Amino acid sequence: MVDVTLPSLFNTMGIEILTSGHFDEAELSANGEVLATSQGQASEDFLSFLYKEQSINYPKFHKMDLLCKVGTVLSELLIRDLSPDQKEQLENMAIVLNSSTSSLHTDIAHQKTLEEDQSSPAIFVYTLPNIIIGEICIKHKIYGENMFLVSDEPDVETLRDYTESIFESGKAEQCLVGWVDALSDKWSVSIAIVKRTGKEHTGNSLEEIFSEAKSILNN
Amino acid sequence: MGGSLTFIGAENIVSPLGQTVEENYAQVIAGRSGISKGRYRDRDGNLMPASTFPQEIPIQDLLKTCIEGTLSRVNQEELNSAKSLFILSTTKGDIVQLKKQNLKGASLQHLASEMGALVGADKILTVSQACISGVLSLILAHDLVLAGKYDQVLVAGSDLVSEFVHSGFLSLYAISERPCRPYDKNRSGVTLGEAAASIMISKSSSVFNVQPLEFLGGSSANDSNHISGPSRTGEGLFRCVDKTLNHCDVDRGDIDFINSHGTATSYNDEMESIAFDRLEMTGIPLHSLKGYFGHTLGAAGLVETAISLQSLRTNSIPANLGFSETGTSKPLNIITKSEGKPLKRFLKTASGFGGCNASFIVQHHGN
Repeated sequence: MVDVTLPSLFNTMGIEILTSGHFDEAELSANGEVLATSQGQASEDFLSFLYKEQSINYPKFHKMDLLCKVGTVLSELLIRDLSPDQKEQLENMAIVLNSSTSSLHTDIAHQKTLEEDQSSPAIFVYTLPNIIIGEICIKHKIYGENMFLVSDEPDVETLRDYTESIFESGKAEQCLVGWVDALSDKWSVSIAIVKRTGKEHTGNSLEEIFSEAKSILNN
Repeated sequence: MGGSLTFIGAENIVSPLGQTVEENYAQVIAGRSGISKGRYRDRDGNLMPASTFPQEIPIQDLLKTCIEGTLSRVNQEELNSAKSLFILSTTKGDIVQLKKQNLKGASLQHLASEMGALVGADKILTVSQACISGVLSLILAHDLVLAGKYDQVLVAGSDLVSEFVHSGFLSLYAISERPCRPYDKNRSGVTLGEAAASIMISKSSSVFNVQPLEFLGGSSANDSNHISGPSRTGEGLFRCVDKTLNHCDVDRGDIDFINSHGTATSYNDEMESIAFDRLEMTGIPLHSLKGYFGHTLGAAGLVETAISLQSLRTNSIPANLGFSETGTSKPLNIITKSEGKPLKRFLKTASGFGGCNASFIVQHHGN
């Protein structure tokens, strides 16, 4: 039997969390600070309010579907939060996202239009869940690794394993890793921007960050 | 960088061209296409060609038949004793369930759990990354095995030609009225296809009944340009192939052929030619297999890889069906007839909506 040689660094390498946040239809927060609450606004109104209040200022935002809008709002705020050095690394940053709803919100919209014989390319293109990765890349000139994983609940084990393997193989130094769920008027987004570190990290763990991530499909 | 290798094999394909990888490969080498009149129409009521089965088939049945073929090619005892992962690669899975308002049934992870249970996998993942899903799934499998997380990974992919997908591509004016012609001057768009393919990635060569090949590693990159249009400069594909060559520590001159994406849309094929020109790889023999299978979306990367694994095993290489006249601004070395020749190593590439690109390298240790 021939076995491949396994890298030995995996057990000693850590992931350092640079910035992280959560966003659902009730509240937006980053790095432990509540930035806004919906105060009973309808979800579309809450999104419009945040677009203005957080100065997102990106006309393409209005063409996006719900999954892309909610993912864009949080990733935008977290990327802003990076230091100048960390921003310089954006070009090769990997983006690894996980979801239970996938593109179901827009799948339903496309199904409706096709039954009315009114299929629209502007809707159809959002029936692929990885479009949110493309939107984040376009907004921030990111050319790094891409991965979109679908699962019933946040798969923190795989998110960590894969992020570590990207760092270990030298394919990226930073990674935006997150959970993005959205369906009808509900969403749950948890995102962390992490970097490779040679030592065991002692701050927040990915487990803590994703403990707030919820499946909209199952709940 | 410098990656270590994993073993790849036990490939299988179920498509309109055949029920096993050998049947499919024999048809492809003989130049026969699975594309027929199709089952969905354009706005004027004309049937649009597609590579479809004579009768509609549930995606579960298709995947099951395919996976059983892969399992028959591995040592079950060794497989059962190892830590195993199942990865489903698909864009739309069992999307027909949406018409019946069955949201759970339409969810990709639901299909993945059903299929993963068949295999008895310890862990199940679903990759849905547009048309690079299959290529990316193999890279993920390789990376997780190298990281010591799993011993074996069975990667299976499938997509069906559905009203859902057909109507969307039609609205994009991306479907060809004639069977697709990748890279040809007279190409006029995509032909959709349906198929399933499955492949095993393992840390050990002994799990395979037949000598496996070596997966050297891969990478992905984004164009950062447009969500539904490829980059004019081929930036993502350029970066991704460059990264893959470096990561695998392989010289471009040591690549015997490229199994490319080649959807036969005007923009995609042109983008690829620009990227390969920037990579100084336009001299390497290249083919797209979309002329045989159509574009099978989430299955495409796996179907096409399975054919290339057969190429390395049999030292033969299929032609790029549908090509006759150069139709890209940077001419490529398109393979125009099937031939036998010694083959050691190939590069597989894929590009998809959302600006994503992925590539990897596989080699035959013995050749």
